[in-house]
Amino acid sequence: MSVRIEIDRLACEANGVCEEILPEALQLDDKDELHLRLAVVPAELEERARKAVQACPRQALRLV
Amino acid sequence: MDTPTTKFVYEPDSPRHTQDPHADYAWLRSNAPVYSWRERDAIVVSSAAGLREMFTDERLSLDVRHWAHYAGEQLFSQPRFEAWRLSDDNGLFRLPPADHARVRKLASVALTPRAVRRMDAQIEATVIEILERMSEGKEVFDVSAFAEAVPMTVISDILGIPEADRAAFRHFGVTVIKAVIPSQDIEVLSGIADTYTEGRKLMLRIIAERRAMSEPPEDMLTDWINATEDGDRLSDDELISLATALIVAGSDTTVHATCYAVYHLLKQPEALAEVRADRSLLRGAIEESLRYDLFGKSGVFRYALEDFEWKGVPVRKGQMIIGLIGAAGRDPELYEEPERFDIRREHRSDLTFGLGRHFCLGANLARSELIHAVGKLLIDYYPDATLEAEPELDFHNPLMRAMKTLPLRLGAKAVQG
Repeated sequence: MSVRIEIDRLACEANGVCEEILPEALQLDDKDELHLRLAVVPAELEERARKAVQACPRQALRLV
Repeated sequence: MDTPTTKFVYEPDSPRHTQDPHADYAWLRSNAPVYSWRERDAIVVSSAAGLREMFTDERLSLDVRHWAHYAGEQLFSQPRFEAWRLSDDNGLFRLPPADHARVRKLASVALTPRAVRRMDAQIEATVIEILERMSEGKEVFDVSAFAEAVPMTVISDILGIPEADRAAFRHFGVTVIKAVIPSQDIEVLSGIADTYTEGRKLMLRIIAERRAMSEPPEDMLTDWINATEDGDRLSDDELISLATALIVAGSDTTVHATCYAVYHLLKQPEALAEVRADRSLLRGAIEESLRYDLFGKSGVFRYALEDFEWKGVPVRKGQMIIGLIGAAGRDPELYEEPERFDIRREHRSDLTFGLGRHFCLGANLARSELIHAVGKLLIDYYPDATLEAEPELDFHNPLMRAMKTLPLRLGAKAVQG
């Protein structure tokens, strides 16, 4: 089972919490645009990916 | 679940609750995290899990017009109340979901951590100016008066309100803050409505002047005017509502947050000594004071859009739901040793600023103001400051556990420069 992160771009307000938790997969650029760097979340990052989803202040992330 | 031996009565307006709400919070969390408060026909939510549900449940609205006991319809249809109604109707507390999402997207560009970092030096300078002016020659200093002065000045700065209009803008601000406390007095309400009319005129002029500038200043109002998303922009009335929301949601909250942060740091001398020795701990110390003892009293409100059952408690359409964020701050399900004030705690699951659709749009701005207000006062200017007396509480404020005064003995002023 491979897990992917989905971003709700309308909801994202670039608070950067996900980037702090999972910089391997999520990164804000200097225009506050959030970039997804990994198409699939490897198993060893899955726990932190769940944390990032849980901690997003805008609840703009989803694991699918 | 044990049957409590003494009957629990939820009385947030009692002096006892203002002094220390945490015993009530603990009872509610462990006995009735979704509590039916019959006296007020409301549902009170106190656990962290319950609050998370409350903030993300689509069946709950922030629009007070969905409240079964809402009585403003007739009043706000009067012509004299038009400016006030326009401000409410175009604002983030009332817009329907699709418009709400659009306005948030456009407005948030000016309030991201990155955007607030650009304003940081200006906020710092404003705090310094106010602190120097108010503390000059004083031995005992009232933190609440200082805290009171910061947010409205910062808001005027970041909106670039021209000097000549500042007094009028401040009058508008002070009046809309008062309007948050519901009044039944038609004279009072009409007076507020007139101030909204004047404030709307003032803001329309300031916005028009700004739009006409070839080189507008780099501030939040310019960011908002220029914000575009798929060809869409903020209307004048949406801009006015955002400025108003900045005042309504960002003034008193920041004032009381400053007072409680200063108070708890002074009550925890070891923590304060650590922060004074290592400035990088200040941010965490402020988040911790917000978690440990949030200033709220009334809680935050939602209104049920339909009937449903929540943890066995029936919720009726139109009923008010009250979220106690301060209770979630000490939920043992979320925090280890929640009664301990720990400036090194992780704060990623905090609900201080809400969650989801209505997550506090000004959270990063508030953090910057708090860091400078608390940091300048207790670290940079008065590193020997101590509590002169316990704060005097205002038991009549219906929304917050407000401090009327918080006297500090300042001690020697540190040399600046």
